[in-house]
Amino acid sequence: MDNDFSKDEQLEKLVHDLKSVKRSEFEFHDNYKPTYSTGKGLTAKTVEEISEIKKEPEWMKRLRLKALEIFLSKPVPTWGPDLSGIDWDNTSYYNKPGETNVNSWDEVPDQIKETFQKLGVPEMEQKFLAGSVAQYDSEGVYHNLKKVWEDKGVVFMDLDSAVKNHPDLVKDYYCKAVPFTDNKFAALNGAVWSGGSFLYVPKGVQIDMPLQTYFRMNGEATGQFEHTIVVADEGSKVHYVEGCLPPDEIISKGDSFVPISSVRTSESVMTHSGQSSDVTLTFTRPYEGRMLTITPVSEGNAFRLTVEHPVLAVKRSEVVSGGGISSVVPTGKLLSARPDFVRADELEEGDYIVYVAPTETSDDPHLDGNHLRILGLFASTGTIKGDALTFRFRKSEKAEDIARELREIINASEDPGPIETGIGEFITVTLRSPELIGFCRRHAGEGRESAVLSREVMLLPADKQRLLVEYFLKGGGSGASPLTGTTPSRTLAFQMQEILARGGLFAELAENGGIYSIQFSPDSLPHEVIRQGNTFLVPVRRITGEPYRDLVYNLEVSNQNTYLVRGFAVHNCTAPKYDRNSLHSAIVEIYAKKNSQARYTSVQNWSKSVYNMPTKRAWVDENAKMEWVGGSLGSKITMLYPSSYLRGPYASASNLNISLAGGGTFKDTGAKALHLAPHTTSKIVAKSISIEDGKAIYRGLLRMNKGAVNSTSRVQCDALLINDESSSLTFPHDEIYEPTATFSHEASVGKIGTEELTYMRSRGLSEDEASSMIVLGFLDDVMKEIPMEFAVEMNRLIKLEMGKLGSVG
Amino acid sequence: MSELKITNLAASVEGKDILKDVSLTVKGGEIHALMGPNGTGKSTLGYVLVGHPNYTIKKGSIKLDGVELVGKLPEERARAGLFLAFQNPVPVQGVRLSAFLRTAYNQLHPDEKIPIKEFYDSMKAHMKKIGIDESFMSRSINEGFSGGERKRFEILQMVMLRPKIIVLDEIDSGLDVDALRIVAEEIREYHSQDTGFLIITHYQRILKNIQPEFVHVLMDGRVVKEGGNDLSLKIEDEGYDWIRSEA
Repeated sequence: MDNDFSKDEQLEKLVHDLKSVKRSEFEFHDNYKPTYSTGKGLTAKTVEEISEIKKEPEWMKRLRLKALEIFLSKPVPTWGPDLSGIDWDNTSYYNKPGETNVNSWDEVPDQIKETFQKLGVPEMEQKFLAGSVAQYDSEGVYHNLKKVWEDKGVVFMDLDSAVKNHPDLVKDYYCKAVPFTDNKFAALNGAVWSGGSFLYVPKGVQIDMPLQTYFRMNGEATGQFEHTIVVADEGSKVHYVEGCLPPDEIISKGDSFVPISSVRTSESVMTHSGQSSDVTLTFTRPYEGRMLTITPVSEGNAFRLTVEHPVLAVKRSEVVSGGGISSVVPTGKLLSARPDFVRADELEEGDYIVYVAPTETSDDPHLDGNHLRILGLFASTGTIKGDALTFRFRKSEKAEDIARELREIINASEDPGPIETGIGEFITVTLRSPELIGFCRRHAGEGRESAVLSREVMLLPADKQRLLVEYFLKGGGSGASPLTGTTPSRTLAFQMQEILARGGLFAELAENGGIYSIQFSPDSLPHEVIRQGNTFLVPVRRITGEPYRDLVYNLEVSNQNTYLVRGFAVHNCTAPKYDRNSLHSAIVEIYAKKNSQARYTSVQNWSKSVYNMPTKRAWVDENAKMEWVGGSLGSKITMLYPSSYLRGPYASASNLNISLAGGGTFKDTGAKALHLAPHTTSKIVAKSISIEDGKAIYRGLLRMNKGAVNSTSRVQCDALLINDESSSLTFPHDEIYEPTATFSHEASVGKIGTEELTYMRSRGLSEDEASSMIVLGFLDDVMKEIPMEFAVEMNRLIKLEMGKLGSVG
Repeated sequence: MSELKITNLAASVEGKDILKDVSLTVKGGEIHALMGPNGTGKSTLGYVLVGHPNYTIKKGSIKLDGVELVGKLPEERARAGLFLAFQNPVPVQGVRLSAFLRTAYNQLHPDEKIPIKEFYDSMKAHMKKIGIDESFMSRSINEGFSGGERKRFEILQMVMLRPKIIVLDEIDSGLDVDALRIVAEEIREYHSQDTGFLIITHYQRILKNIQPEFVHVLMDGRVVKEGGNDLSLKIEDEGYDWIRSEA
């Protein structure tokens, strides 16, 4: 039962943490006007125009025209959902966003860049990935591949660029797995395709980071027809790693500093902009590998993190030419240097990392000058014992002055109470006013040994905070420049550094025998530290690494990485909400060659006006392994059946799909597995959730060809109906021609109706908790098989849909 | 001391008036039986008390310890200390019994922080007494449970969640003789000066094991007769017709 405890605890936490996120956040659209559009409707002229604008080779133009013929000759399929709402004549099939397809975000047109930034794409996520491609309406606007992979022969770019740069490679794979004749939508894609990615992983190359493509459909009633080709050549493999921090690493919450392991969702943390932002998810995972310690010039700020974790930094090599660490960096260049995220293991000594001072302030008029003076002295010299607060000053001429001033300040307060003064080795001032003691406790904890400043104090304007620092130093600091204060409280040391940074000063922290010193000069910055607005560029003094084996943590912070899902060639789709219907008809072709492993993860969250009709297919050769992981949310109608053609002996495919059919939507999804060789295996798990009047259909095809000896297949379809009106149907179709083949089907239907909810609520659970428990329980068995962060992301999106559940009675 | 006070309660479901005028009071330390022929509104009273959204209260009041429950959500009523053992508990796929009980407990007793292991140890001990195999902890609630298993699970929830006012709707149906004895034993053990019971039953069977001090007879949505345990014995012998003709 021990396993059960941890599972239940995890569940409890998930139920507790799930918070609703409003879809509307993503349903904005910008006013960017395409620089070129082929206008509405589709003829041979449209297709030729597209090809001309793209300056395509003749062979591609001919293929387009051939595909158009097939498209026009095929009827709209009627065996599935009602597609009569697609307005073929009023759809614009090609929108070009601008002239550029670049590999630096700086060169992406501002409005488009802002859109991707709002979706959280460009910075953080990009650095988690081996490469990424961004597509806006019809065209790729950005592509990037880490040099290390480029050097190994990996090709990753949008397909348009690949047609020009790698025509022979493209010809080998273009529309081989998905021929135009496959279906009307595949033919349409063949005629008007634009954008999409081309990824080629050469023989034996194993990529340990994901590659990702982002899509954004902005125009109303536009089509998006990307074509993606993934080729995993013999023996190649993809596998992903994410970046995390160790549990005791200290995170700034803006007013305090806490271990990352204690951060919960819905709390706020600081972001690199200096503004706080909500934590929307927390991740924990075991990590075994190298843990780096990055020690900046201010040694007390040393922090640990995993090798792949992105760090905001300026590479020294970018601001200085030729020199090593000792070379002098021109200040002017540093002042204008733009920090960027760099993998921790790509950081070098002498590089600059970025210290960020929070910019939020909030004045508390109740905290006046005398209050801050007392707090400064209390934090450096105060202790509370029983009902007495004692300030101790090491005996000196100055100490007598301070003690006198302190008595005056106390006496000036509303309720000073009796004051005792002692003179010995130390000069002591003891007060017993419960009001004053309570005040000190509230704003600076228990005094010197464990001082922690309150949120109110941390947010005060800089001039008030300066008083506190001044008296903190008067209490126990040295008077000579650079000024130095000391404290045994780690938190206070970081808080002091932050306060000084808010005031434009950078203090260096150091730790020695449990005592932290805060050292700064009131009129200059330390050598080589550069201030840029509210941030400071601080050189890295030392980087060390050590083996590590324990849990590591990571956070997802809203507005920073809102839609972060990782996996092989991940799609991350959002489209703005329009009343007019848009059409998405993509082709994805995957070629998993002998002994290779390919994984394709796709989470699609289209707006509810989109018809989503992609064709996705993989050819899986001998002993190769193909994994499809899909999440289908949003859209008006989705018809999607990723297919695996198991072409060589011992090829295997797994297909996990989770569909969410919200109110007014229709998900006709499933999978196909075609066993064309001996000893092939397939596993299909389809989970659907239907809400309100949402319809979810599982439509599957399993074929075992004659000669596919000893092949096996397992199909599992689970449906969850939320409220009493939603519906789910299963249409499995089996064609078995091989007597030694074995297969199984399992299906289940659960529901969250009034009776189920009332039963659970009668035991004290809120409607929200009850439905969350049911949904999580429903997904429980696939949680084990999909990456944790993907599962959590699914939960969050499901929650987003379930926000409407309030109407269920 | 806890007190459930139902006053002039009338309620309908799907436009049909089921309860017309029901008043009764259950205090801590008391055991009441609500009897009556089939279709007279006994189970409806249970659903109305628990706040089932399909039932509409037309008039009257339900107070628990002076707090009005009419208009409150089911979870708020549970948090006030009310518990209904359902006549037909529904299966809920995918929700593990152990996680469900613990989540419920945390909701009902937010100030008590019981470590998860301690909670499960206690759950296992109770399961053993009630005769539910430990393996049920990781099963979905009520899914694939026999009628008797469902009833035992209702009793397990009662003893674990520690409500003050307990309504048992046909708790004896689906139980064999031995199971009935165990369930009755649990109820007697849980019964104290702080807990009040309202046992809804068609037959007198359960009342042989748990003797009520107060018996109310419900007919056509009204309480038509009240008495002590002797009333239930008379019903056992003579049925309900004599009450009907009296009324």
